[in-house]
Amino acid sequence: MELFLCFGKVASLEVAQRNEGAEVRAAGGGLGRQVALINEATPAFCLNSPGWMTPGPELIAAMDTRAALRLLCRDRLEALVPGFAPRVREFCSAYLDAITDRIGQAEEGDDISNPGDRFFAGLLPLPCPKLASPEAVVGWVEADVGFWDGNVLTLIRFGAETSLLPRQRAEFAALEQVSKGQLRVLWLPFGAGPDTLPEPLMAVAELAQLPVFGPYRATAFRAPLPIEATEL
Amino acid sequence: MDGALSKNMTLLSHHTLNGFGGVGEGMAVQIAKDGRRIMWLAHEGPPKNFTGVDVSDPRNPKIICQTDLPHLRMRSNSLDVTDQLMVVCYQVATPGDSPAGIELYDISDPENPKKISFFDMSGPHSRGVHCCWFCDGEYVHCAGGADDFIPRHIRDDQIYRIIDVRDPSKPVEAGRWWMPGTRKGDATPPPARVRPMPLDNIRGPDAFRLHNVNVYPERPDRAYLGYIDGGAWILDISDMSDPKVVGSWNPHPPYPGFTHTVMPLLSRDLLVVADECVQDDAEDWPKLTWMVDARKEDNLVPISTFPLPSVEEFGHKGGRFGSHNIHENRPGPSMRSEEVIFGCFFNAGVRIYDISDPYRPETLAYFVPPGPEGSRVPTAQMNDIYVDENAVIYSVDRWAGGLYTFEADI
Repeated sequence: MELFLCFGKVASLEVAQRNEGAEVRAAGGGLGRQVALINEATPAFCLNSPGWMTPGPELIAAMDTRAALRLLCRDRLEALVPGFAPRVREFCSAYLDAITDRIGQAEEGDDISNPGDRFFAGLLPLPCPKLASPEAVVGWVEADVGFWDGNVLTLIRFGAETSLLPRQRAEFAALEQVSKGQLRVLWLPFGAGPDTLPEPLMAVAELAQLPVFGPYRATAFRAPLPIEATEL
Repeated sequence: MDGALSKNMTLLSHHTLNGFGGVGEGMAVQIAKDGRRIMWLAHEGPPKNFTGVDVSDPRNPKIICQTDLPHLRMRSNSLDVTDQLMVVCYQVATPGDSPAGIELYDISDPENPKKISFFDMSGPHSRGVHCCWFCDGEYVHCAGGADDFIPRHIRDDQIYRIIDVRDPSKPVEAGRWWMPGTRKGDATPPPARVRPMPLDNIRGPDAFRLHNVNVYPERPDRAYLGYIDGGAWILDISDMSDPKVVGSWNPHPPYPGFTHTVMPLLSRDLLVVADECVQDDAEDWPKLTWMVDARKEDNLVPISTFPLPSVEEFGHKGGRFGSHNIHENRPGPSMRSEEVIFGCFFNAGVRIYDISDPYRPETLAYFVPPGPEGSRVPTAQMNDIYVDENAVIYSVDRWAGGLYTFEADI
């Protein structure tokens, strides 16, 4: 089943679906700056997944330490959070802290096997995702944070179910049913941190391969790729 | 309902409370030990004190209890419930009269509420208690006078008082706060009156006193105060004996006063601030409900107001027209949405708003009942509202209409 969602600061869901959504669809799915298209073949959305942030080569070249890269990642994620979503901002920040705690701080150096680089293989929290109902079962449903781990889209809502109208609660239930295990909804209390997440959402960082491509590739792979060296 | 105006709302039932359909600002739902849902209502004025209504079937509400005030020179107006404990407010018409304060009841047998204790807030300059908030079972937060509080102006008598009721048989004061300048002896000068009114009637506008205060378990160190002409205040009550100001905002003047409720949307760093219309025939128009950006508590910024029908259409239909109570997302058997706001607007009825875009609140639904029989004005005056966790909407008329229940298709 195909799942389409917008996330971050999206003013018009329909325009985002029509414009950036079309671009992502033409590319076969995956992540855009504020949209995502998920099908059976879509790999997990991680911090090092292409599409959600598009720093230019000059900016990446300026990130000459691992700490700077992690800070850029954190900064770009925070910039996605809408203004009036402080609990989402806190959760995303705490999630990145939790990944760092699990894998340890990466040390600076040229080695290509620094386990701390697995930070970038942590799952990408999608702030304020809005899911277009598959098979038009219902309208758009909104959550506080989303994760795609390659198998299941987890939508997190803070607060009790009584924060939603009965119609909205029923829509979530209907979506879970029709998605046949590809979607689940988690209700977390206000102020809940990533320690309340199911283990699989935290374990990716430990299992991931070291990135060799993309903005978070290890130092040894930092020479510009041919496409980046092309002058337009 | 004949004569009603509505959009996306349906009336489930209407009960005139055995002819005593004037209800104030106290609405609370008790889940009784036998599973029944009891709506407790505080009456707007004498002779009735409070009424208990079995709303287990909101289509068929039934009165199970209705009590009288000790005399006609007082009103209850407000109450609140946590579990099987109810707090009722008593306010007198004339400073110095009694009983004035809060009374605690055991309502574990809803048909027979039992008095547990009374906390006296009478005094030579006090009219007692106007409104209370009690949702944690431990502290009553209320707008009340005190025998040792002398206001500079006769209408500024009700301050923020926190009463510890962890032992409900022995309530004690835990703390108090008042707007600087309103107490005799304050170093701060008295505030300039917004719309000075004659003193022959000390009810109503032209007051720097507390109306509503809200405290939520998600943020127990914060109290959110509607201080009538003093505007909105956020206090740090981590030390209840010494509340401290965190931030405030006051649009009055140029607006005509009467900040009533400050409800935080804690997951969004927003406030909903509701004024109260207190005069008939749009004499104090506009009375608005505001969205306030509270990302910096010490720099509150208004960003929008809730849309209302035109004053040309509703302002002179009779009675009041404008903002008043909103459903305050109280803990317990209650809807707690931070994107859908339910409010009552006197003769503009009950109105429901989508504030998912806080810069542009939009009307989702409304219900304007026809004027009830026996009312002193020709229109319904929807006075207070409560929405339960199943989104059943309860609202009350100020003078005669009693209890209305609705559902909304939103």
